Amino acid sequence: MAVAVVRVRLAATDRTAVYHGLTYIDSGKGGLMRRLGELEAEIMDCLWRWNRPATVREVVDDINERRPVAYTTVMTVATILFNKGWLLRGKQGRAWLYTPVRSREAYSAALMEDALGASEDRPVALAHFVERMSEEEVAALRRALRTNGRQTRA
Amino acid sequence: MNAAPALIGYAAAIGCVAPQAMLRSSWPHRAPALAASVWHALAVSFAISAALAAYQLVSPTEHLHAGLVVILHSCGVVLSMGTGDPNTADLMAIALPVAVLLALILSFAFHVARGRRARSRHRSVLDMVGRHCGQLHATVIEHASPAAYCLPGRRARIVVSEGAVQLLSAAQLDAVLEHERAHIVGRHHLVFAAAEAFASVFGRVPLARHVKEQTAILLEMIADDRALRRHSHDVLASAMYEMAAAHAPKGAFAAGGHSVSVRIQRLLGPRREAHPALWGCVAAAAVAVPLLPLLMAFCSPGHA
Repeated sequence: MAVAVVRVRLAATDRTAVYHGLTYIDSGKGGLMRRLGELEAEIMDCLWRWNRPATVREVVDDINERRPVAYTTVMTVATILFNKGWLLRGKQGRAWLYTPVRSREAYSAALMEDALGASEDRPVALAHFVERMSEEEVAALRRALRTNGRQTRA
Repeated sequence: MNAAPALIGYAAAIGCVAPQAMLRSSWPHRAPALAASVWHALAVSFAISAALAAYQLVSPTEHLHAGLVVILHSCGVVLSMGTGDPNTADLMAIALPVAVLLALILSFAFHVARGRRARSRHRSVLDMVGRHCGQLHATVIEHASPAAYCLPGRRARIVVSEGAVQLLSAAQLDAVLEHERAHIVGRHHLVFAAAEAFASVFGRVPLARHVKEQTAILLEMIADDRALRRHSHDVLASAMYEMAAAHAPKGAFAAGGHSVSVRIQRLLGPRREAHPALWGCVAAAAVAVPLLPLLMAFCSPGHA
């Protein structure tokens, strides 16, 4: 059994918090020191797919179908996600039940808003591929594309 | 007699007349990289001439110096020797240009840092929500409206929405992704941050506003040109059209859409290759323009 010290950087907050001394035990078969960020995404993905509250055990079982992962690792990362404000949790018997704070669609919409929003002060994305055009401009361009003998699917 | 009036006149010409000349000419859209260099050269030239003019105004003229000492004195600054102290004048003469330079550097650092902070915040959510697609080398987010953008810098990301993947053909999608890749590879965010820095320091000068606007659209054209290395004009133009048309709001005028039209018209228009001699002249001008104020300052009779 290998014992590893895991350092987790909280990228979601502006300050960088480093957790020292979180230990987890794995079977030493490799592939387990994957980036914790990936595991975070994986846990969120499970909960979003199921669309219901779930325990760490259920998540571990789901991930274990693809690759081995230790219960304590998932528990630790789920706690991190709770502290970062991605998950809500409530006790059911002795186990915690985790629920995403917001749906995946809500986060996706917020990302799009952030990147492509109409605000003048938009430092996030360098540039989105195209901005919005008025209907007249779209019509003019459609004509231009047609007169150039080009195929559009419009 | 010093070079201050000449420098001020030169700065006024660069700040007000040169942008109009640039906007009226047609070559910038044919050579966007060269045009972006010229805009930045104009900005650098303006900053240098402003700094040198400040230096020349303060340093050698005795009555002006005396006036400054009085102003400083009235502001509560205690001067050790009063008027006639050459150190104060020297100090002021150095401090003003340094202040201009420092303001530009700090502003650039501020814009770079702000962008980086916003992108890292965005990326932390993106890595959780989006799905990395190895085939596209991009992150796909579940959203119906078609969009594509990039997060440049370290740990760069290219992001494309599910809506865009559905809407575009494989070739069109690749052209769009290639465009975004060009922004990342070319480190366009730093070029734009420089333009932003100049615009926020010299906000009231027409050149400042135009440099920022034109840099933004020229960078898009540079990225378009890179996408054209692997895809035809038709593919890129139709991809742009599809994306823009899907976004067009019903009956409302949308600001900023104009640059897409300009970019598509540019792709559809005749592709005229200009004479290499013209390119050479413009490139030489881009190099020479920042040096001109230095020549004016240091070769003036007053200085010698």
